[in-house]
Amino acid sequence: MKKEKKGRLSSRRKRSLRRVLIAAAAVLLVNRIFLIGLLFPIQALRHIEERTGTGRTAVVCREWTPEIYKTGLVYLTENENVTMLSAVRLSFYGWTELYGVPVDCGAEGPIHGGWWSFVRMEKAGRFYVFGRVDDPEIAWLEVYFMRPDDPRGEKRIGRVHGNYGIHRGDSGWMEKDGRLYFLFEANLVDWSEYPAGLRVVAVGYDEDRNLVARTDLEQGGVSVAQ
Amino acid sequence: MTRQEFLNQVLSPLGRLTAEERENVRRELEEHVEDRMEALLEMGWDAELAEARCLEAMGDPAEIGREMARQYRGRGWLWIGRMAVALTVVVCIQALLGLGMLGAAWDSLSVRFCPSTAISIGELENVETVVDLDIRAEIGNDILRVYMVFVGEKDGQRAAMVLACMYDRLPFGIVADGLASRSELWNERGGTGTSAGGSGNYRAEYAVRWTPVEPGDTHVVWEYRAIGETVRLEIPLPGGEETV
Amino acid sequence: MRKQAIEHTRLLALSLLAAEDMYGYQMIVELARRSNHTFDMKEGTLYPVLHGLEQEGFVEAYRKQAPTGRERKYYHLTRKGQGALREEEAAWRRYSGAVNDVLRGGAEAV
Repeated sequence: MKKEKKGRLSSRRKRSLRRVLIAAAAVLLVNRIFLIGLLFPIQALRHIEERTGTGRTAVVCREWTPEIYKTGLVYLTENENVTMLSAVRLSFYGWTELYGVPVDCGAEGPIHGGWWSFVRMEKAGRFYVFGRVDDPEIAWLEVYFMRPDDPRGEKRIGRVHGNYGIHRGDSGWMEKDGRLYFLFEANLVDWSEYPAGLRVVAVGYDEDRNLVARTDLEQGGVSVAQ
Repeated sequence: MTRQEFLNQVLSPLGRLTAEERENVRRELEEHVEDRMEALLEMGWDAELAEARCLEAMGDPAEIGREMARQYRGRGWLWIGRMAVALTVVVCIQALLGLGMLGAAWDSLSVRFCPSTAISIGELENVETVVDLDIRAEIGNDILRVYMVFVGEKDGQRAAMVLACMYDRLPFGIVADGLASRSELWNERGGTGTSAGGSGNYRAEYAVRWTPVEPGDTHVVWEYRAIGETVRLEIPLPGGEETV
Repeated sequence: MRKQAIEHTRLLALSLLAAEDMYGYQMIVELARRSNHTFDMKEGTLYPVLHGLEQEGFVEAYRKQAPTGRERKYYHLTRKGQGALREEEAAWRRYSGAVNDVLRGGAEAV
C-alpha cells in the first residue's frame, strides 16, 4: 500500500478509483490537445465531420472492412444538407480518421450521390456508391459504370457484393430522419480493375420501370486524408 | 513452530494479493507478536516459552490465512485499477509519439490572438496601405476571421489583398479544411484575382486572396462556400473616402 | 459456531473503534479488559476482520507511532463504518432480546 504523507494506507477500492480518475484525465487531455487516443470510433467520425465542415451527422449504417484494415469501419452518415461516407480504423493511436467523403445535398434534385474507392496500398479495396434519393416517385435505383471501353456500362466492376439495383422495400434502401439513402459496394480484388475515365451514373425508375431521373455521380467530394 | 514458520503459513493462501498487500499482512501480524512477547517478557517469561505461548494465542495460521484471503476477494477492484493503469500508460506513449501535434496545438492558440502575418503576400508591390481588421463570421463550429487588408500593385494593376484565417470555436478544436480553396475575393464589379495562397492544419487555416480594385472602390467581398451555406463578408477598403 | 464468532468480532471491532483509533494488539487488550476476560478469541482472527472492514470502507488505516514508541497500523472508523456499527448493534439487540424472551418464557413455564 502506498504510504502517503500522513502514513495513510488505502484499500483496493480507493486505489483503483484513483487510478481510474487518472486514466480518465489522461485520456481527456490527450484527446483534446493531441487529437489522438480516441477510445471510440464515433469520436473519429466526429473529427471527420469537423474537418469536412459538414456539421453534426447521424449514422445511417456502418460496416466493418476487415479485408482492407483489420479494424476498419465505414460509416454512411447524413444530415439535412449532406450525405457522407467515412472510413476510420483502430491504430496504435486509438481510433483514427482515414477519409471522409461528403456529398452536398443542399440543392434541389431527385438523386444526390457520389462514388469512392477505399483502397489500401493496391492490396485490397472496396468500391462504394452512395447517396440520397429525394424524389418519392423513384422506386427502383440502378447504378451503371461507363468505362471508355464499355460505354453502355454493361460490364460490372470487380466482384459484385450484392445487386447494383435496389427496390424500395429492399434492405438496400435505408431510411433515416424521413429521407432515403442508398449504399452499394463491390470488392476490388484486382487493382488493375480500377478504371481510369470512369463515369458512374445513377438511374431512377418508378414502379412501372419508367425512367424518372438520371444523375452523373461525382467522384468523392472533398477527400480528407489521414 | 517458529515465528517465521507461523507467518509463512498465514501468507501461503494469500497468492492473490499483491506483494505489497502480503508484506503488510506479514508486518502487522509480526508486530502483534512482538507486542505480546514484550508483555510476557516483562512478566518474567522465558523467551522460548513466551514465543510458543504467543503463537498459540494467535490461533491456527492456516485458518487466519484463509479468512484473510477471503477478505480480499470479490468485485474485481484490483483489475479495474490495473486496466486503468494500462490505459494511462498507452495514452502517455501515444502522446510522446505524437509530440509533433503540439505544434498544431500551439497554432490553435496563436491564431486566436495573433494571426500570422508571415504569409507570403508575394508579388504585391508598391504597398500603399495596410490595415488590421477583425471581421468575423461564425460558420458551423468554426469562426472565419478576416484580419488584414493590403492595397498595392500586383502585376501592374492596382489590387487589394486580404488575409483571412479560420479556427474552431473552442480552443484546441478542429477546423474545417480548405479555407483557401473554398474562398473567393470579389471586387465591386464582380471580378476576382487569379492565384491564391493558403495553408492549414487541423487547428488553424490561413488564406490569402487578391482582386483588382480601382480608386473609389469602397469595399471588397470575401466569399466562403461552406456545405449548406455561403457566407459573404464585406471588407471596407482603406482610403476609400479620400477619393470621393 | 465459527461463523458466529466472526460476526460478533465485527461488531466488537467496530464498537471499540467508535471511541478512539486503535491498532490490533491494543484492541485485543482493550477487549479483554472491558469484557473482564470473558472473550477468549484467538488473537490472529481479529486481523482478517479488520482487513475486511477496511476493504469495505468501514474503517481507514494509517501508520502512527504508538505509546510504546514503535510504529503501528492504526484503524479509524469512517462515517460509513459508524452507520454499519449502528446497524450491527441493532441486529445484536434484536437477537439477544429474542434469546432473552425465549429464556424467560421457558423459566415461567417451569
